Amino acid sequence: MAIFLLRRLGHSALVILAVTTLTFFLIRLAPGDPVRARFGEERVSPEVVERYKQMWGLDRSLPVQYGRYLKNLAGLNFGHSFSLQRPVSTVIATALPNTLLLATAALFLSFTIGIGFGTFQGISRGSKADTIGSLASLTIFSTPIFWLGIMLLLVFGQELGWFPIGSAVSPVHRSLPWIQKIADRIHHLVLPATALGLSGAAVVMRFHRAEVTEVMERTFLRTAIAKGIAPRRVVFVHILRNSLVGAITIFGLSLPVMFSGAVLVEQVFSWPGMGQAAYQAVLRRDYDVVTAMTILGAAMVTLGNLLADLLHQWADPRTRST
Amino acid sequence: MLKRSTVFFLISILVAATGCDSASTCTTDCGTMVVNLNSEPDAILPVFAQSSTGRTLSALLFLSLAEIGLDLGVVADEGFEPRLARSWSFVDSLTIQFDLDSRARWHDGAPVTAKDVEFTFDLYRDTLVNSSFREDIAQIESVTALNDSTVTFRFKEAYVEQFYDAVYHMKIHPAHLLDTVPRLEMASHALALNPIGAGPYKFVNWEPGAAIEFEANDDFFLGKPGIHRVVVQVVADPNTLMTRLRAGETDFTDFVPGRDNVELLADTEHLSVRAIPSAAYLFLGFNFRSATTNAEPHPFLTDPRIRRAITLAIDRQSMVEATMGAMGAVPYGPVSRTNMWWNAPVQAIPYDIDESKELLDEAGWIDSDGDGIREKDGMPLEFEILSTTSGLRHQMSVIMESQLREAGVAIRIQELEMGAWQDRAQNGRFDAVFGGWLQSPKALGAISGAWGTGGPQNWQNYSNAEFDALLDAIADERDPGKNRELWIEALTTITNDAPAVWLIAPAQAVAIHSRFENVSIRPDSWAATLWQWGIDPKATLPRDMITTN
Repeated sequence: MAIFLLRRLGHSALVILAVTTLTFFLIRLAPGDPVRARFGEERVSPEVVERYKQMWGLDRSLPVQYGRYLKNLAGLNFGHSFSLQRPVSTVIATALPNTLLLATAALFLSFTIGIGFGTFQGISRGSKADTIGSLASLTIFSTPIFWLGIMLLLVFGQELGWFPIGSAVSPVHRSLPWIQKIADRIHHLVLPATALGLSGAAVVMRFHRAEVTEVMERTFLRTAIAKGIAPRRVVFVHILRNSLVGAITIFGLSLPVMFSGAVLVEQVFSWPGMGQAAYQAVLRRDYDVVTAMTILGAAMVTLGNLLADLLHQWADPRTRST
Repeated sequence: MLKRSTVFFLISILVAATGCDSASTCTTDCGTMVVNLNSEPDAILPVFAQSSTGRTLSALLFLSLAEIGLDLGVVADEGFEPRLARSWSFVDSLTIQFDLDSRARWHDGAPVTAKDVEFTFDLYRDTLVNSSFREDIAQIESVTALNDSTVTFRFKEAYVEQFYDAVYHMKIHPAHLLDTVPRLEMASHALALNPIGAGPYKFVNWEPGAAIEFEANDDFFLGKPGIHRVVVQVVADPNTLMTRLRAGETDFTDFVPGRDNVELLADTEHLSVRAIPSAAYLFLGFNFRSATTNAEPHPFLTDPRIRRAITLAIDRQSMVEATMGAMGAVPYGPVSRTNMWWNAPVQAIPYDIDESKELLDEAGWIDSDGDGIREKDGMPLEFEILSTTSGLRHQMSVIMESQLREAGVAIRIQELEMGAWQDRAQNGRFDAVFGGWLQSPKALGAISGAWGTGGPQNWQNYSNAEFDALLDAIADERDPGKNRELWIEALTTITNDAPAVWLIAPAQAVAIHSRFENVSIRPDSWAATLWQWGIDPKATLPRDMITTN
């Protein structure tokens, strides 16, 4: 197990290194130079450009710059944001917790809803409720996430006034007592997490329904029912436990999907997370921020896959490598 | 399963968060204004602020020596109001002397002195700092502190807008805090990100992507601001912005996009929508060089008859009405609504499709193959419009396409993302560019930069010797009457030469919550007069009552 883990971690590190290398060189191949980008259209004298290049280490050869970048990266130094005039790590430190909060809440929602309804649909296969459930999940699955977000905002924000419209906290958040600060955060989280979580739930629901259906046809289950085991125990112990393996696989794969979906949801809800930061950085040609976001994205995907494999092995002894 | 106590806890905190307590009367230290802008400022230390958001927000924290009037007049000191300078005098044609207000204090308590003014000038003209205002103050030769409260500005030459150049571009920076900061590192220094100014508001916090918070400077020497807290949030999505405004979560935005949204907000009870003259004008600029090589002359757009015919064929009035309604107006030439020559008696090229057709016939462009497009020597009268993905520009391009077809002219619309558009436009890779400029209050610089030969924003490579000569004459003419005559002649010359189709001079729609009182908005900066606004004590909202801690 330890060897497997080490090997997989090694693979993940290699993938992240490859993405870092590719992003580093690709962004430097793109037209434009960061010093001129920093000063916009204003005319900058060549001497001034040189001084700034020296300060930012851009006067060195590309391999030297690359070496330095990797060294800095090892110390979690992602460079400098030209558009926000602060270290990229500061930008990440403000944006990442917001995205993690949103993605975690959305994941929680999609799996509780998805597994709950998926199990119910699986055991009542062919019933009216199953058909309605399938229709509902298909509808949500095919609804563009930003549209879903706008609808939630219009109905529960503007019309009913139950939830605030966008932002992670209220404008007066800083002046609230701590208990209201927590409440304020949750209050702002509900709509974006629902938008992101619902589309995830639709996927989990469909996968899980299929898993449960498959388990339902196994002979051991018929034996269990024939032996007169309480239906509740049949569902929670025999069906759920055996069908969860599939859900665990989706869980790992959902992590990157949550982060990419968050880009759209963050835009609609003005949620100050990684997606918003990356989008704004692309618009402003803020190279270091874009590179950092790409690397972090790659790290999320590889770690998500690793997590999925580990969970899978934990849940299903047959897949364990020796 | 969630326990009942957990459910109860969740419900109770949601109730606590929604702030169900009703608002009581506002007495002191209250008032929260939530401002939504569509982009983050690049900097709030004025010397580094290039974006309009940055320039505007820095006006909450920092002051100039004197403030331009609401009509943005730039002639001598007419209309300017005292700020850090209590008074001023013109010593001779090249020297202005300012006496500082002894009551002015930095937010850390230190007095504002003439040394700060001297330091500020040095900062703005430093090539390492490379402020975007450096060119604007190029005519100032020196700034000298005579004593703690008196400072003189010496100019290289005498001209009408000297006073404007002395006070408009530079906001005074604190020398006692910034003089030890290395200039190369200043932009990302803690004092640039958490600045200490002498303005009506103090900096509180800036969380990138989320919010910037300002708090009233209760000791502000010109009077305590009427709104205690200003929270600026970035809301990039226009739909979300509109929903927030209508739901009452946002108090102010300086940009309501689209005619429908303006009408929608005007019908919202708690909002008032105002049209503020905008410094922008949009145009379809013709390239005088070939789009492919950028060296040879353009194959047909150098012919003034064709440019005039294209302008004649576009019904700009109905186009403006269809796209912007009452918020738009047709400019006669390269002038925005804040330009001092907006109302100059210059005759615009009218809409006259028959005259347009006659001109094209006369120039030898005839539709010989009956496909609806004119040709000459086998070349169709067809060109590409380089535009951005903006909704307004798209609407206008589509209207122009159908109107020009009427005259036998075909256009291809190429819409690019802003950065890509700029890359191509700046390098002259276009037949016609759908462009727009924000004009600074100083008319001469704004017009010569974009339309004078070799001007830095003259991407069309337009060159008209007569027009250039008139601009030179304007720069040298001190007599107001003669200066005006020259202006009218120059603007008539460029209008008749039609180097561009002058499409629209918009007004900017701003939306304001109706509980604010004494609202005045200067067209170039809503923040400049914000400290004079107040809140109707009988109409406060719960967020107004939450005091800062």
